[in-house]
Amino acid sequence: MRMLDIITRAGRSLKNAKARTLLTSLAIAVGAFTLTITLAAGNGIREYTDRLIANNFDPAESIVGRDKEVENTGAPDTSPKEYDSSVANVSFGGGGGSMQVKQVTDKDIKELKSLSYVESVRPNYEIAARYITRTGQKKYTLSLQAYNPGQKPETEAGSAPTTDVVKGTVLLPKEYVKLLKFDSAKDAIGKTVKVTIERPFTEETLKEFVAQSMMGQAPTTQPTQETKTISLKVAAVTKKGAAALSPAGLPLLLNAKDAKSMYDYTTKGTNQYGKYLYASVRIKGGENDTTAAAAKKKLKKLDYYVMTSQELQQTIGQFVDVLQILVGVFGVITVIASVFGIINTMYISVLERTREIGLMKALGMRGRSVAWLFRLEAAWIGMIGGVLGALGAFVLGVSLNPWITKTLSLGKGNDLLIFDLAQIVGLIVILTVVAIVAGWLPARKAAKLDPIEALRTE
Amino acid sequence: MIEIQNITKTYGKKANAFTALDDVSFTVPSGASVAIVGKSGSGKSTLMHIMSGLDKPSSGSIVVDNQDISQLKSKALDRFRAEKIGFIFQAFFVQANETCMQNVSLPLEIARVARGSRKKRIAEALNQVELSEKATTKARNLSGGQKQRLAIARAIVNKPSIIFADEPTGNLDSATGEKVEKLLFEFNKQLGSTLVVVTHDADLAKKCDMQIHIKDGSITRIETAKKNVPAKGGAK
Ligand SMILES: Nc1ncnc2c1ncn2[C@@H]1O[C@H](COP(=O)(O)OP(=O)(O)O)[C@@H](O)[C@H]1O
Ligand SMILES: [Mg+2]
Repeated sequence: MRMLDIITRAGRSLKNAKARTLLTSLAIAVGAFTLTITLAAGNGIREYTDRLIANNFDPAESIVGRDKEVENTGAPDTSPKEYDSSVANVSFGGGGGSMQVKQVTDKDIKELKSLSYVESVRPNYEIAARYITRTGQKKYTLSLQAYNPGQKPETEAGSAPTTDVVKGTVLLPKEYVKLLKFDSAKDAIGKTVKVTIERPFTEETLKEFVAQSMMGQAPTTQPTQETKTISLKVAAVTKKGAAALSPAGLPLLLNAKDAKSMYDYTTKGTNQYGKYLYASVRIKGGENDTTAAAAKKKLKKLDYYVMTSQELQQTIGQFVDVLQILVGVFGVITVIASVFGIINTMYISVLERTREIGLMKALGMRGRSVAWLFRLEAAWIGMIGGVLGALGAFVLGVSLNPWITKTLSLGKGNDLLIFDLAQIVGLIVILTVVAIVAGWLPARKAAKLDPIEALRTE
Repeated sequence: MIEIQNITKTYGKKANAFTALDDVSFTVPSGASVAIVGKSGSGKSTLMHIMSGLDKPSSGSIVVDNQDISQLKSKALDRFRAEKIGFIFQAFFVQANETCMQNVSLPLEIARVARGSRKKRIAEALNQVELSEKATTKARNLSGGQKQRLAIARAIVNKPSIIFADEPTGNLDSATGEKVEKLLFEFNKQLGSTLVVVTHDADLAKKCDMQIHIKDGSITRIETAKKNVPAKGGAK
């Protein structure tokens, strides 16, 4: 029998058992629904993270450091290591303890800058700032960072510079407009804000303080921290974009030289002075995967540890993958459960149609064709289930997307569930194949039926 | 021509062995009508199954148009049945939930006849059994006689060289049974198909060119109508 005729006959026998077909299909549909949603969520999250990366990282920039943690994408290694005077303690929030990280020095920065394939180097300045204020206003906490042109912050007023902030100016986050009593974001432009940074205790004052305490005396001199106030002109007011990565709110963004002098001030006299956790290194033509990889190879020869932006993207991608697999497993389990439904249904179908099978075989139909008749019947069940499930997921997803976007505050135009037709078609094809496999044994039983036995009436 | 040579069919093994056919030989000339007559359990159906290539004999050979079908592999045997044999059963075995057209279409599909030429042949076959008006009616809505006529249409649609009918009128009242008989003989004459009827109806048997009487798996008597060429072979 020709395949087309077999398909038609298989479809016809399904039509004759509508309720049974539909119920079996619904089991598959649940699996198809879960998997379609999982795939759509995976697409959405991936697209979202891609946008995050594009908005927060320069694709040509690599993170370069001296510690192998730079390349570690998993949990940090906190096991005891041999002491090295060039390491610094880095503590994690949430009581996670601290670990020692080998730092990048000013010498390294100089070396990196001298490399022919390096375009620019931005050391990571962790500036300990006390507060921000302006004349006649209250003091507010803040965080400070050197401007990263790769981040392209969105602005409320003024514009984000393409290379660096002008020296002596600052990009002020929108929240401070109200706090510091500016009339508006526009009003803040060109006005001066004051940032106070602090210098840590010097060794001498600390020694004196400790010595007095140990001798049981009340310390005569309370150790005071030296502070310095810097006036900065507001160059632009930034706002958190839909795809901004920093969850804590935007930092004030500074000119690189300003950032360096502030960092130096706040670390002077500590073992952090002239040392950085890592540096962001812009590679010439580093947007290209192979160029970035080649530069990484050369940097590794100089004993640096490097994470290219491509690798970073991969790391985040892997995280999304794992998440998706976890959810996908539930869908797969549902599909497996429904496979037993199909097997059962197909056995019943074979049993019910013993006569018909016997007749077809008596009339010379090949056992193989008979088997395909039942496999295709199963295939129809799988396909109908797949289409129903995917369609349900699509309709639900499309109607829920605006609500999800709002609830998770993903930002306008960011959908969590992105449906990809090719994926859905692929899923339906896979479910159809799974159904065929499920129908394999019942189909074999049908194929092996003895027509004389099947047609015996007495 | 069908030549049955020393056919034996044994069911079961050793102590349980049961010989349903015991060294049966006879020859049916092409285009003849043959009745296989005998009591229930005498081995008529078994003989018919072996003659039509549905079953294999334990020993002996069946030569149909110079081809020994007992030697054929299952694929070739399936093809032989699809192309050369038409079947009619006592219990009709029409597909209740299919239309008459779909029922008649089955042998053509099995024989891989191109879609284009099927429709015409189906209509022709239905017309020959006077079921044209019922073409799109589901078989479950037909009467017993109509069902058997539908089965006849299905049996003749692929123009088989041999039609086997196992008790074709067994489930019908005499009036409808007669109509079915008439149709069978009509096709036997018109198409020149050899007709093999299994029956215990003496009247039906008499209308055939040849009557093979069997009892307990052995041929007891072969009668040949005067006008026809007498067949060779016979009872031992
Ligand atoms: N598959 C089988 N196994 C064992 N015995 C069988 C089988 N098929 C038929 N028989 C026996 O062979 C004999 C002939 O059966 P059958 O050809 O159906 O008789 P008829 O059609 O003349 O009534 C019967 O006694 C029957 O019980
Ligand atoms: Mg019988």
